[in-house]
Amino acid sequence: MTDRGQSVVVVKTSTANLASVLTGLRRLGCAVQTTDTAQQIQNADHLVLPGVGAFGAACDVLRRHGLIEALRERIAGGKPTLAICLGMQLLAETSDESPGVPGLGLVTGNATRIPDHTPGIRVPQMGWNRVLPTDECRIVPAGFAYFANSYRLTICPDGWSPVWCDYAGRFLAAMEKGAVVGCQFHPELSSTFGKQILTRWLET
Amino acid sequence: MLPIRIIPCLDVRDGRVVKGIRFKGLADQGDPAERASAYERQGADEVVLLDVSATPERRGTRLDTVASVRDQLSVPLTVGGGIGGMEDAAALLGTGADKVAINTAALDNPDVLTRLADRFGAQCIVISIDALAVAKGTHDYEVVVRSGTHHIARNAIAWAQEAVDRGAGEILLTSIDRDGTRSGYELALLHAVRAVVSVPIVASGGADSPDHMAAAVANGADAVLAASIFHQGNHTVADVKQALADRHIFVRRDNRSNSEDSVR
Repeated sequence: MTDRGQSVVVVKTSTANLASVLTGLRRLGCAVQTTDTAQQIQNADHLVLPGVGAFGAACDVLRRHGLIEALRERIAGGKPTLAICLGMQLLAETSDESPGVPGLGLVTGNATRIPDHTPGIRVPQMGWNRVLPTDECRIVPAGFAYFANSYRLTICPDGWSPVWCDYAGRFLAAMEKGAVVGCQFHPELSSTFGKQILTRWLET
Repeated sequence: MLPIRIIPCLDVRDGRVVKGIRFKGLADQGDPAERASAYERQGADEVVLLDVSATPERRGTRLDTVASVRDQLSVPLTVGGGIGGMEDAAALLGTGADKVAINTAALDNPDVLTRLADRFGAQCIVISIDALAVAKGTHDYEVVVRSGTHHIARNAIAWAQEAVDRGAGEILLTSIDRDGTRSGYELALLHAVRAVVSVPIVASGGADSPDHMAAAVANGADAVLAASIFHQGNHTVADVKQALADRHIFVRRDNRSNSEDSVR
């Protein structure tokens, strides 16, 4: 368990489901609030950037609320930040899901669609898959994590520690750089495995 | 390949878990949040909550039940039953559902699937299909709506294909012939739908044993849903996973001991 009342701020990227993230953090004893202001993004001790829905729509919401610069500064500065699912893809430059829409561009990379012509591969990837961290990872352990995605990053950006997974080829299940973590899977829906990740991240 | 998901289903009416045979004769089976939490501890990969009374009695799906289950549950939660359209779906996703299972509303207005997928992403949108064999023993299936009380002349396989084309990211495929009968899943139905879609399929209706689940997997199911066998304590989710692993089916097991979490 983490310190009681530890404060976590969750970015409202859209009308997407935040309830799982919010209740998951509250179960760990956190005081959780949501925000759509740049100031709270800058000041938060711990910030979660969730994401469900399309890349372009989420970028659009961040831009309309003027949150892009605050997120860039915060993440570049290494403040504790957890970007989940689409949130992780938003850190990259682009996505094939929404051609021509720039992401945060904090890391090089383009999110690509899972090839669905592979036998036995369903798209969306919906379910539990085994993730394997490299030795330098400090937050994500090996184990089964819950995924619900059609797009993913396949190349680990420079300076980040990769957590790999396989589904119609190798892809980036997560990436860590100090207290900044991107997770393609949903730690808040990954039972005890996910709680372990959230707990370690909250301790950063 | 991902591990086959084992999904306990909570049929809920008036805030209580119930289970009947062919959607009738419902008996009390406990508190939804307690049940869901117990199933997660047993190793459930996901939980489905269906409000079985919502459509016939024109009630909205009960948001308070969803919220109380969400509080307890840290695996994915799919909610279905009487979802009328965008607003209902948005309310459920906002309250704690990770996916919504749309049935009647999609048949009435198939465009709702596209609009939901555009707004929330295909991975949130499940098309729930209740299928009934046109005649006993035939492999011709029609779609049934209003919780099994009202027939509609629509081919179930063609509807599955259309629903996916319109944006559904998963199919919850229930055989009404088999529901609650403990006679096994309707394998020919699964096989036929598998042949026309590439999204995940959740087999539902009739499970009574790991053998039934293994047969569903062999016929294209990516996940198997069951209610009675778990509620009545004949099998825990962990028992079922062990039995499936013994049959060389890939399942997710205890995450904390990574060395023994799978076969193959």
